[in-house]
Amino acid sequence: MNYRLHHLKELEAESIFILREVAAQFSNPVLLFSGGKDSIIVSYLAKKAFFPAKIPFALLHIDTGHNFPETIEYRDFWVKELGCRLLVGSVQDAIDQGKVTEEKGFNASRNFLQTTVLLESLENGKFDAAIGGARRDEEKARAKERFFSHRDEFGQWDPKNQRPELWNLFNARKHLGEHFRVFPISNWTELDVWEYLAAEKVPLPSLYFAHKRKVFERDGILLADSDFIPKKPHEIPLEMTVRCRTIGDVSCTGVWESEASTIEEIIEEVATSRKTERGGRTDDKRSHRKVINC
Amino acid sequence: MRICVKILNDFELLRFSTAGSVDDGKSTLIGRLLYDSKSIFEDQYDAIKSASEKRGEEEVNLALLTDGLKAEREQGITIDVAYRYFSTPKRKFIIADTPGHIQYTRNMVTGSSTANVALILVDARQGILEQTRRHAIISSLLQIPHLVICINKMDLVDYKQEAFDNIKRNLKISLRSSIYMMSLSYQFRR
Repeated sequence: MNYRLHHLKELEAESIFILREVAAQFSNPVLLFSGGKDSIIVSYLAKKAFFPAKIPFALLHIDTGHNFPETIEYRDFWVKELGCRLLVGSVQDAIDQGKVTEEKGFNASRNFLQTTVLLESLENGKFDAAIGGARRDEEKARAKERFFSHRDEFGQWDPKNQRPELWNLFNARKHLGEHFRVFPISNWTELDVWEYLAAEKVPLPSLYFAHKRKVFERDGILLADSDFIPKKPHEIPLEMTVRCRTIGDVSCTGVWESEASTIEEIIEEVATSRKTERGGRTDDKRSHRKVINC
Repeated sequence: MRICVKILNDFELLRFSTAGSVDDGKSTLIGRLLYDSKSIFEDQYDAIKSASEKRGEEEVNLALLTDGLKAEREQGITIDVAYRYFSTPKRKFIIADTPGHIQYTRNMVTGSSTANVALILVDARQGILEQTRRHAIISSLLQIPHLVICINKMDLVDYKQEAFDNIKRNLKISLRSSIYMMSLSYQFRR
């Protein structure tokens, strides 16, 4: 018999298996939720994995305080839709308490401060697994990461000494104080994500669709005009029709000129794009050395 | 537009891994596959082009596409499996580029365990090495349904038929199982 599974169904099955494995092997997992399409898809798959029961873990949002207002609006809507708990780790609070220092200058971003807040949130909540929406096709270092990725007691990844991960066997053994990052959608590409979201008719934040917004250009990347980014004198915001390909902190999320206002148009755009989605992320450009290093 | 989505939806998924001894050109082969299937984005290509120039290489080193860890770039080797993705109008591919060094065999096993096809590369100048045999045995142990042996760097032996036939004969003796043979050269010029 010739049994052939649709490629999205195969990816879905793999991800659902991993999510269930997390629930089975860890005592206190949490799902990292940023409000971007990847974390939306992971939380959507989590709902599917445990339906009709509720998702057996909470969503954790590391809030930089520099969000697009649409992201927070969507986050609250989506949490209600999923019927699960939302935890928020605030970068602003960490700054106020003097735990981290805010960067200065024109390119200041709170993106890097998130790590400290994330590790603290994981420690405070005694979480032993943090489920994330990272994909291997996003970036070279991520292409090397296991589904179950071990972190030592300092939250560090040791890429030179990763564990074997055979077939569908996932090793979650760890010492006290260590934790795991789990990436259920490791094998999805950007196009898979969009096709799946379209096929399943998942509601999405409006930022992904073409809209009019005041933007300005810096180093070849269009950034949204916002109070959080200090502008240089020559950077004059213009109104353009744009959309986000990735969603992060306002200060590091580039927007793209686009007319794609439906999910089908987005798929067409993604399928024909000659630039990587993270090409618009200023945080990636800055961290190039670090990325290779990690 | 609707047609476009329909075509994309009709994919089937094929997972394959590349194996073989150190410096047989596994990462370069994948880089070339990605290049030819137009799966390398402009910004990625520019990045490896400038990285190649920095290293003083005349040609664009496509292996840099998969060797993403700093330690790997410094030593010019692959330490852990890198997964890459590309598609043709018929299929979607997940490639696992596995390391050739004996110390990293466990990473090769990790990458190959989920593969439907294992590609084992052989350097035409070197012939069959210890790691070639080891990887072939591991692949059969893992029960990967298809095994393809690629005899690579044929340009460096002037495309001699006898070089190819020699390796083929030796392989048949040492593996004693039905394997597919193909000759391949991907010297990359631009």
